[in-house]
Amino acid sequence: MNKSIKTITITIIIGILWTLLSAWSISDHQFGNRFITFDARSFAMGNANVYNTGSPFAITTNPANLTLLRARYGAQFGLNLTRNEDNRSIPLYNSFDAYVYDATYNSDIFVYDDYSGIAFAKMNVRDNLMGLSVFHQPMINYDGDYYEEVRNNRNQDNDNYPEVIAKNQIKNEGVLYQSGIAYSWGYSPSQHTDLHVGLSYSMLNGKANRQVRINWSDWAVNRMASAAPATTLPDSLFKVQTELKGSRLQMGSNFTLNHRLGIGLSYTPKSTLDRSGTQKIVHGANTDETAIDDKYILPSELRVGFCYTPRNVMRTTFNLDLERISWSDVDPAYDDMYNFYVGVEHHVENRLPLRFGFQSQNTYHSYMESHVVDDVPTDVIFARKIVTPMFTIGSGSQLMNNLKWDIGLGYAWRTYEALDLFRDRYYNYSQLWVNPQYINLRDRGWDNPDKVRENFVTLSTGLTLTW
Amino acid sequence: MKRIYLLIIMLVGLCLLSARIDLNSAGFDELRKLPITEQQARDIYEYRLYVSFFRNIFELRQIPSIDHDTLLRLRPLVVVSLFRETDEVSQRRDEIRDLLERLDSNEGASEGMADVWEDFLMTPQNINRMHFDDLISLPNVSPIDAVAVLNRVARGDTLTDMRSLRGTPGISYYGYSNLRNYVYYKEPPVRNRLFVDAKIQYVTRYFEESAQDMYLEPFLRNTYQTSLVKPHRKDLAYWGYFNLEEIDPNIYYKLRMRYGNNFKAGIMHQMGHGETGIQDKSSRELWEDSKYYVGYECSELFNTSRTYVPDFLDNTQLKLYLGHYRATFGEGLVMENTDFYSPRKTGYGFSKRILGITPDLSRTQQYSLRGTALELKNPWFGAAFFLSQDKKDAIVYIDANGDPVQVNGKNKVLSYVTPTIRFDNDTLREAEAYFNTELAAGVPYAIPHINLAPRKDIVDEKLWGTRLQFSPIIGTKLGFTTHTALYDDAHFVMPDWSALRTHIIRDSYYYPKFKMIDTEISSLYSTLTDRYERDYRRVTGFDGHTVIGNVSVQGEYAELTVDGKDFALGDDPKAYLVSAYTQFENLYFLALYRHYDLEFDNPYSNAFAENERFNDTIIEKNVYTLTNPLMADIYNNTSQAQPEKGIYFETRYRFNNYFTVGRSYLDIWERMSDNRRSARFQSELEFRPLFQLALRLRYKNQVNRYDDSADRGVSKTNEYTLSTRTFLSNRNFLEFEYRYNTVYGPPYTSLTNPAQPGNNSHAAAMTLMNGDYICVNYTHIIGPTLKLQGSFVYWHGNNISHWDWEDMEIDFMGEKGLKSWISLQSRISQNMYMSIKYRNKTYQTKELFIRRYNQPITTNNYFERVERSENTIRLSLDYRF
Repeated sequence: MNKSIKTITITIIIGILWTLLSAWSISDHQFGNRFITFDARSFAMGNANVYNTGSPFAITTNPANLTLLRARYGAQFGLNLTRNEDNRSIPLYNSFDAYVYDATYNSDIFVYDDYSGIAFAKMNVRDNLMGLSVFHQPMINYDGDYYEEVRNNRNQDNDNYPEVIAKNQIKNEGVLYQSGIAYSWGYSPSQHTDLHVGLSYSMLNGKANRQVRINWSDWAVNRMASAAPATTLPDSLFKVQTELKGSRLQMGSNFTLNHRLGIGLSYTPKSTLDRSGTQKIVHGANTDETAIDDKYILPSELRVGFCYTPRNVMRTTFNLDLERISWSDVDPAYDDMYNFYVGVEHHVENRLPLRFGFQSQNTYHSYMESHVVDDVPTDVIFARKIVTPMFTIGSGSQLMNNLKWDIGLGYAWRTYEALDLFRDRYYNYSQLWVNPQYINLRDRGWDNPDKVRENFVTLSTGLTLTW
Repeated sequence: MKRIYLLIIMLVGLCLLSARIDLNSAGFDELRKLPITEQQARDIYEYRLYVSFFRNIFELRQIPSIDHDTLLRLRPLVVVSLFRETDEVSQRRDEIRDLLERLDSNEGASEGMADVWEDFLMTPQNINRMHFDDLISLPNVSPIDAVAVLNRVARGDTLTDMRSLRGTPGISYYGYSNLRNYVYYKEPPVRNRLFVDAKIQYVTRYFEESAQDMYLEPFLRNTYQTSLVKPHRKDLAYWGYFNLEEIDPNIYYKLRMRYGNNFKAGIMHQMGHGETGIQDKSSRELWEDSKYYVGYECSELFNTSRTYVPDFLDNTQLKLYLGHYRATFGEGLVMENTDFYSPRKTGYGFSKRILGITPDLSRTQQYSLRGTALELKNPWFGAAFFLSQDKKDAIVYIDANGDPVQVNGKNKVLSYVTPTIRFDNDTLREAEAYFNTELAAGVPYAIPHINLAPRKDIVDEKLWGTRLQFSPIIGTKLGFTTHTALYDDAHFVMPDWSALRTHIIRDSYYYPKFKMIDTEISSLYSTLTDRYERDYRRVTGFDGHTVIGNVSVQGEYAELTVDGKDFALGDDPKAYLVSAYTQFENLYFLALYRHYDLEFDNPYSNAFAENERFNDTIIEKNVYTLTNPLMADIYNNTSQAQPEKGIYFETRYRFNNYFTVGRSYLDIWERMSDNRRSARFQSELEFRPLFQLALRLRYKNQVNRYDDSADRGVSKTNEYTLSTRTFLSNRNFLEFEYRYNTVYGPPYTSLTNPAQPGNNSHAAAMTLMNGDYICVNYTHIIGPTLKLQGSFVYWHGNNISHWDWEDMEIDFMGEKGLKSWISLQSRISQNMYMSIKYRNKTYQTKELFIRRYNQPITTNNYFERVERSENTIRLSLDYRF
């Protein structure tokens, strides 16, 4: 690789190399945004649906839900809209209680949409039930955007206009689609006692692209061109385009103990996907392109939960799931983690449901840092846990005899620290800055990282047709 | 012949009836035989299964698919049998549901007392056998009410029902209405059986401002703002080093089991923000950090019907506990173990103490007692013995390597501490070593390394205590309490004034900030001084209580053994408190006098006080001057009263149905450390023209240093609050509240300085700050099992701290901002409850320090406001059966 290109590459990407596959949230965990379900009812109940008797999409969480469904035939269509707000500030610490804390230096809001569909059929043979389902849904979304402007330090408090020096942009695109088939067998010796076992196999296909771009403004280019000595400011581009291919197996079972309580369990083994593509770095007239051919691992998941339907003045359903994600499948740097999901549905009046729930998901944000180990500079990967709590609420309506519409809204938030996405040393041209004596353009490391505050508003809605 | 006809008709009728289908017992297949569709049959079946049994046939219309014609068609074909699903426990729980919810909502304040009261609500005590202490430990039951009940029982009367309780001479309406739910008369409402209460709570909580400031203080090499050699680095403060910015939920698990009121067991674990999770703890750590107990209680230890058992042993109670327990006696001067401070804890009204030994699953960790406790009592005598061995957290003198400094072979300790985060010692040592590299490179007169630091479980404390009580007549008792804490591996050492400040304060520039009020720190108890060396701390005291007519007088005197003898009065630091209470039907009046010596340092006391210990001292006000900011937790989480003396009056008077003077009080007190005198007054008038509407006006006034207006410590606060409370139909509730405050204070720089460099000397005599606050609260009962609550608050502080009693906790708010929260409380089934609360608080605060980008700050400091936004969620799941 050309030496200058290498330097530039390091400058641009050192902070983002380990977030190559991020989603919605630009500095999200390495594995994009994983959809739990496209079922709006389950979503409104905190995504707790490992034992679910009414929603076809629950088959994608636990294939044994297929024969548990009450209807014989059905289809469901789902839409998911997510709005991500990303605020970044620099949490500085100085003498006693005067610290810069939440002064946001950049704020972005973007909205993303995804769609899915599922169909199923079920038949009874005496006490036995058999079901078959096909589905197509986004499994992981890699979309994500970030935009910031680097502005001059021209005493804004005196009403001066701070010129744009550069525009920094990150654009991630991609979805990993899951197209699969699920089979389930159930045995129901009596009305409220049954056992179901299910299996699903799905093909995973998708792409995950990332583009990081720094464009100098005309003002900056002209200023440097007229400076002495004249300097050219070439734009930079870092582009990764990858395709993901693989398959996924999932198995599950449900056990209805009585008319009140059902227990569900699903297990998804680790999936290893082939990732192939190119990585391209462009800096002015220089271009460098390398091929990518490696593996992408989805960790194994184990989810257990129950559904409880008591006798209550307002008809009530309570679901609670606990999930173990074996992040250690991906890398020993990660610990396995537990997520939990809980939700309630009350029929307030005449089948008008009010649903609410809560989920707490643990994910990882990984980053690379250079450390001297035995006198040798070594890149060390660090993994930090991020907790994302979300509360949800929703309702639904029976539009026609066989047609149901559901809606769920979720609000999630999180705060964490992250390395500066665009390192400051890149802009270290003193001629560009109106007050260069007040600026010290060196890279901010972990001794002074970004504080990131994000919130997500998610709308999940869908139609269910059963008969 | 007529008889035969009649018989035939009856038989035919019976046959017809028996041919009818019973809606409350028919299976799905039977229901399908009715002239309805399969879906309708399924709807009927599921309604019965998941909503309710049918009380009458017309309830079928509750089912959407059953129309009027179907009902008429079904009417001759079905019957509804009487069916009741609820057992006595569910029924009892339904009866007391509101009270249980109220107790749960006070969990934060009452710290474990709610557990005891909840048990008594579910399985009440026999009012005819209760003791004086049992009665006065219940909320809002006064000693006069207790004596009224006991006198009546002593006369040979048996209270047989609620009406007979109300008719007891001398009992007040408030006493009766609060007592009635905790007692039974003839037969208990619930028979003895196994009761289980399991609870999980998940809370993403923000630290209180004082704790946040403490963790944010950096270790920077500096010479008081003249130079900062390093750029601003987050890793040089505990906050940045431990990544406290990230969401890290508090998770609280609790499981209690009991068989009736006899056999009890429980376990609790709390994982706090910033602390190690359960999955990462060794079994030993898990054991150390959890709380648990097993216990046995017997309300009739001796059977006096047997001839060899003397009569005076009648009605003797026994309590025996292993594990964690609470011990509370008298006025809490000698022993009331809790980590939590609550101001003006009078022991009356809702501000109660539960006297005696009780099991403990509260969140108290530091002053918890773990061991064995035995309590025996009857109406005349009482005795309790308790032993505890538990490791306690403390601020320890450490050397440059982070090891505890030894003195006479023991760890040298400054003070107990209740840390906001219980960091592991190894983790703390690593952090300190990291900070020390910065301190070591500092200027000569700054400390070269951290020399005082908190350490988890560093003091192995063995504690024993005794309580003896004699009650010669009803409502009169004399008690003696003592406890001794033994320290085998630690010496509490308090150096002289000048040596202490060099330990506590980071450099000489700040030494003048060590003031007279800081004698509270220098007066902390030492086990090693120039005069003596010992390995214990002993507190001894006696208390008394008597009720004469409708006047109750009670008090306690306690001494900490320092130089004098254990049982000689007046030769050691002392604390005493005496109160008198009288009540009439619509009025009560309380007067209380307390006096706590400066050197009376008993960590197990939790008596009445206006302020907590170390309030206003350097560890509260000037955290940035401390050698180690974590020392501020000595103040942040103290449960001890500030040394003070003063007199307190409280009253409530209900004129008539329209006007009530709510709880009103006047407190005049003097701080012992610097003789600062203060007064605080609060009164409330409620006008209720209709039952559904109440208007309230509240006024509060507080003056600090009222005797010397020239002193810098003077401040005058006025607070006016107007609220309207509307009680809507279906128990919905709407409230509007407006509050206006003014505070006169000394001229602090942050208030009077223009935002220009070099203006630190602006002249001002007094500063007037004013702020206001508007709040709307709404409760909506969506259904019998679902409740929605919400609140919206907007405030404008101007440096005044506003407060808001929010659902379960008090919240303090500065500057200006808005806050809203919503909570959904759902009763999932008769045994299961879930609640979710979400809160957003967006406010401005003065934290922005304009600076050169990525450069150290030099001399130009500007304060500006910056917006913060906080999201909080609380999920609570409770399962009881």
